Amino acid sequence: MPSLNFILPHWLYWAGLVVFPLLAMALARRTRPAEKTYSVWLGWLILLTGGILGLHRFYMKNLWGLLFLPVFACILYANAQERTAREAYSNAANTVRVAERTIDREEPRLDSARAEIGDLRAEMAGIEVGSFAEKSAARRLKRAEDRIVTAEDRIATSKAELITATPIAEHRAAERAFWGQAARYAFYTLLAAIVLDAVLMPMLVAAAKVRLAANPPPVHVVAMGDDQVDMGAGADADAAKVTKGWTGWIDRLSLYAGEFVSYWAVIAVFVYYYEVIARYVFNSPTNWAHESMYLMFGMQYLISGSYAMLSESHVRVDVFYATFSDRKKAIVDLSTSVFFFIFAGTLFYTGWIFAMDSIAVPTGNAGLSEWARGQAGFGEALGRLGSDIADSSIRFGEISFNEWEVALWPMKFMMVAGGALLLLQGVSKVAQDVRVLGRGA
Amino acid sequence: MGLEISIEWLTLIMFGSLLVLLMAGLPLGFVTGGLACVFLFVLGDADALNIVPSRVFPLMTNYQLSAIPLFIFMAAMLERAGLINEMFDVIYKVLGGVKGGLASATIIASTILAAMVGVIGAAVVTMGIIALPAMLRRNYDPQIAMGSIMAGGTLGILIPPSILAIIYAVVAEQSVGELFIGAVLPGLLLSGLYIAYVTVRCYINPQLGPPIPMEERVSFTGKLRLLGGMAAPISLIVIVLGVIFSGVATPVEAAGIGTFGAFIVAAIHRRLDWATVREACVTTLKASAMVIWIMFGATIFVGLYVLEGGQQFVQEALEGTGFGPWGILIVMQIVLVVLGMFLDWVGILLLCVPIFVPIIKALGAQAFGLGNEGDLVLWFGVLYLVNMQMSFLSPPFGYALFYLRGVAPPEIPMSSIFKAALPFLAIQVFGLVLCMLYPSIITWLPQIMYG
Repeated sequence: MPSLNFILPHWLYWAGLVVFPLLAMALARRTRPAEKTYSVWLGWLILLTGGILGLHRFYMKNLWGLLFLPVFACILYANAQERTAREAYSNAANTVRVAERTIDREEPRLDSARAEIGDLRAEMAGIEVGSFAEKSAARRLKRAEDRIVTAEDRIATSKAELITATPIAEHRAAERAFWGQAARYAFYTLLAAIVLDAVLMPMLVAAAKVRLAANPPPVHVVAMGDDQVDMGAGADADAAKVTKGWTGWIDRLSLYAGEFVSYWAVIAVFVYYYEVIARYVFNSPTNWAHESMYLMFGMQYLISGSYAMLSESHVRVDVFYATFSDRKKAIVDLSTSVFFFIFAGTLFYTGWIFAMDSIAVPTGNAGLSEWARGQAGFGEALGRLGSDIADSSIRFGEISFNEWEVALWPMKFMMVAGGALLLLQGVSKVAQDVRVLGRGA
Repeated sequence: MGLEISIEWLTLIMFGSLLVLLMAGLPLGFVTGGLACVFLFVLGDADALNIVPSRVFPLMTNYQLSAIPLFIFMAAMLERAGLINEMFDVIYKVLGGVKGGLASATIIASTILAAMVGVIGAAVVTMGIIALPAMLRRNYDPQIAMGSIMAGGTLGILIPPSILAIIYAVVAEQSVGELFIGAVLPGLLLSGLYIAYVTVRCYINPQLGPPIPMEERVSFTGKLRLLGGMAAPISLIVIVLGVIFSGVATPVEAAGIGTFGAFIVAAIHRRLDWATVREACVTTLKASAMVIWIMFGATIFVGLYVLEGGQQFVQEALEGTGFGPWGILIVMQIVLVVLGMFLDWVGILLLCVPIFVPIIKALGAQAFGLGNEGDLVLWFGVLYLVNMQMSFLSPPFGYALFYLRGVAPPEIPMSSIFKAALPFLAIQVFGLVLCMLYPSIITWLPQIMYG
C-alpha cells in the first residue's frame, strides 16, 4: 500500500484556520440557486473525498456505487491481515535473531571451555592427591564441565528454535507480501474507477438530472419541505439581534467572530475523516490530526461565548425571569451583571497573565518572549518581529509536548480574546438595559 | 481576603447565592463562574484567581470534549437538510395500518432521532410540530399522542451519541465509548416499553389510536420504496454506532466520520449548499457554546467547593442520615430528578457528579452487588441519565411539558399535558428500578464489547 506521510505544516494549519472561514463566509452570502439539482463540481468534490467508497455514485442515486464497497472492504481486510502477518513475522524474526545471536555467542565459549578442560585434566594428573591445589583444580574442572553443559544446552534450544521459527518467519513474510499486494491491487482498481468516474462525471450528472426531472421526488404528506422546524433561530435571526447605535459595533464584532470560528467545525470533519482513512486504508496514522483539531475546538469554545450571549443561547432559569416586564428584566440584569463582569474580567485579566507566562517560557527566544520576560523593550521586540517570523529556529513561546510541536501560546491568547469579547458584549448588554430604563422613565 | 468559613455555612452561602442569582435569570455559566471568582477571592486572595485560566485551559485542550461540537454538527446538518421531517413521514406511512401505529411511529422516529441527535429539546419540538397534528387529525387520544412525543423526546439523553454521556464520561474520567454502549440497552428497553404501552392501550381500546383509513395506506412495495429512500440516513447511524462499538475509531473520530456522512446524505437529498452549511455551523456553535461555558463556570465553582471540603461534608451528611448504600443512592437520585426540573442538565452534571461519584465509589462496588469500580461508575452514570429523563418529564416543571406546550394547539390545557406525561413517567420509574435491580442490563453489553 502506498503510505501517506503528509504532516500538516504549522503555517498551513494557522493559514487554514484564517482563510477557510473567510472563504466560507463569502460563499455562504451568495444568493441561493432556486432549483435544487445535481452539480458537477459537488460531484467532483465528493469524488475527491469519498470516491474510494463510491460516494459520488450514491450522490446521484446511482447504485453502481455499491460495487466500490466490496473492493473497499477488501482493502480493509487485506490491511488487517497484513498487520497481523507483520506482527507474527516480527515476532518470529525476533526469535530467529535471538537464536542466531545465542549460537554465535555460545559456540566460542563452548570451544574455549573444551580447550580449558583438556588443560585442567592434564594439570589434575600432575597434582598430589588430597592437596589444596587438587581441590581447587577439581573445582575449576567442575565449573568448566558445567559451562560446557549449559552452552551445549543453549545451543541445542536455539537450534530447535531456529528450525521452528525460520519457516514461520518466511511463511509470515510471504503472507505479509501477499496481503500487501492484495491491498495494493484493490486500491489501484478503485483508483482506476475513480479516474474513470472523474472523466464520466459530467455525463453522470446530466443523466441524474434527466432522471430527477422524469421522477420528481414524492411530496411528503407531513414534512413541510423547506420551512422546516428549526433547532433554534437561524444565523439571520442572530444578525437581527444586532442593536442600533454604538453598541451595534460590539454586537457585529461578536457576530462575525462567532460565525468565523463556527466554520472551523467543517475543517474538523474533513481532518478526522482523513485521519481514519489514512489509518485504515493507507496504514499511516497521523500525529497531527487529533491535536490540531482539539486545540482548534478549544479556541472555538472561547470565542463562541460572546456570540452565544448575543443570540441569548446561554441557558438561564426562566421560571421567574420570563414573567418579568422588560423594565424589570433590565433592572435585574443590571444588578446581576456585576457577577458577569467579575467572571469575564477575571477570565480576561488572569488569562492575560497565563498567556504572557506562556510566551515568557525560557525556550522562547523571540523578541516578544524577551519582552514578556522583561529583558527587552516592547518597541525593540516589535522591531525584531519581522526577522523573528522569517527565522524558522525562533520560538515565540510555549509549544506542545506532542510530536507535532505546534505552538500552544496562541490558544492561551484566545482565552484573553474570549474574555475581551465577553466583556465588550457585557458592556453592550448593559447599555441596552440602560436604554430600556431610560425609555421607560 | 482569606476568610475562614465553616463548611456548613459555606455550603449554605455558596448554594444559596447560586440559587438567588439563577432565579434572577443570569445564565448558569456566568452565575457559577462569577460566584467562583468571588469565593476564590473571599476564601483565598487575588492570586487564587489565577486558578481560573488553569481550570479553563484543560477543558480547551480536552480531546474527548471535541466530540460534543461534532455530534451536534452532525445532527444540525441532518436537521437543516430536512431529513428529520422526512424520516417521521416514512415511518408513519409504514406503521399507519397498525392500531396506535402513529404513536409507535413517533416513538420509533424519536429513537432513531436520538441516535442522530445528542440534545433533546429538538426532538420534542420537531415531533410536536410534525407528529402531533398528524395524530390529532386522525382522532388519536391527545394524551397518548402527547405522551409518546414527550417520552420519545427524552430518549436523546440515553441513546448514543448523547452529549450528556460524553460530559459525564469526561467529568467521571470514564471511557466515552463504554458509557455509550452501556446506555444502549436501557435506552432500547425504555423505547420498547413505551411502544408496548401504547400498543396495548390501543388494542384494548382502538378509539385511543385508530389505524389510518384504508385509502391512505401504502402498499408493501410502496413501503419498501419509502424505506429505500431513508437508506442513507439509516446507514449513517449504523456506521457511526458500529464504528464506536467495534472500537475501530474513537467517539471523536466517529463523530467526524458521522458529520462527513451527514454532508454526503444532505448532498444525496440535494440539500448541500453553503447556506445550509452556514446555518448548521452557527447552530452548532451556539449549542456547544452553551454547554462548554457552563462547564467553564461550573468546574471552577465545584472545584473550589470540593477543595474546601464540600464533598466530605456531603458524604458525612449522607452517612449521618443512617440510610444504607441503597438509601443514599435513592436520595441522590431524588436530588438529581428534582434539580433536573429547574436546572440545565449540564449544570446538574457538573454540580453533582464531582460530589456524588466519589461518594458512590466510597460505598464500594460490593455494596451494590457489582464486580468492580469501573462497572459501578458506569452503572451510576446510566442511572443518572435515566434520572435526567425523568426530570425532563416530571410535572409541574419538566422541560418537555413546556417544549410541547409551545407547539401544541392552544385548546389543549396544560393539565392535559401533565396527565399525558404521568403514565410514561411511571414507565421510566419502572425502567429505572429494573436497571437498579439488574445492573447487568447496563454492564452486560460493555463487558462483551470491551471484555
